Amino acid sequence: MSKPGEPPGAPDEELQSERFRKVDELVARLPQVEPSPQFEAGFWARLARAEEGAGRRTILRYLRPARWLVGAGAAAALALLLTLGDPALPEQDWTIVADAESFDLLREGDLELLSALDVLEAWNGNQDI
Amino acid sequence: MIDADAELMVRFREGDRSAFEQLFHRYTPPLVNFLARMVPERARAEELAQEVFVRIYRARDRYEPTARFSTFLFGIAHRLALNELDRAHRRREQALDEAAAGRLAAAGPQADEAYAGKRTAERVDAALEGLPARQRAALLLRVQEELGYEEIASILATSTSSVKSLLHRARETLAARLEEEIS
Repeated sequence: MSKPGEPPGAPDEELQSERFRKVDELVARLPQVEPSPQFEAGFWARLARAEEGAGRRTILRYLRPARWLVGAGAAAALALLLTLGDPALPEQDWTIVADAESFDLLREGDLELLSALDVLEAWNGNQDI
Repeated sequence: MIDADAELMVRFREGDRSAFEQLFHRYTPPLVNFLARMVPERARAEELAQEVFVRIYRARDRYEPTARFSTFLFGIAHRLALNELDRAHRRREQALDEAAAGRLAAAGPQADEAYAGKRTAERVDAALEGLPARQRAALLLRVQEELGYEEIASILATSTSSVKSLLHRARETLAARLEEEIS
């Protein structure tokens, strides 16, 4: 036996390896813990739940870019509306049109005819009075 | 050259579900046994074992036979067991250490020979439970599953010299705690 603090000699090593061998033997002889009878059924049920959950997550994953797409589309439409809504005509030529016919005339750019129409409409009004 | 179980896993990856079932039946007993000695609750150990197989099942498309199948399986099991122990908090581990020490004292050797074997098993179990998780895992994989140092190192994500050191410390602690059984 070596003294405390000294490196172990051969007999100590032998003694230690014998003790370790016995420890291994005790651990090896432990009875096996067997799975319960419900283990396999529990596994298949758990797997089914996991697969179902994964399916839902996959759908959400596909929908996530679509949500962005809808948002981006809405933002683009708003930007387009603001850009096209900017009056192309000089401010003084703005005309509020009340019916489809006048709108068509406005689109065709025949402003002269349109203002003549306004005069005619005003005159008709006067006639009524 | 891949081992036969890794080959089964490759067959499963290619669509053969019966290959998975073979692996499931082959590995359920050692896996449940390993996890039951890694985590304190038996029911939880079974849930973790089921979770290991669920993960293997769902990872089949990504499986590459770069190591033995048992390394892959016990590697997942070991990580899940450590997560479980972490989740159970350190203070609970402390309580378990005390409980294990209590059981160790309570399960002292008795004169009655009929109970000797059972008592010894209880004392060894209690002593094992008191070991740090990595030492316990290393010892169980080495002694009960008879895995090599390199494979244990892969499972524990460490070096072979670290595995030898874990085993040495585990055996030293158990030898001290089980003095009566080994003398």
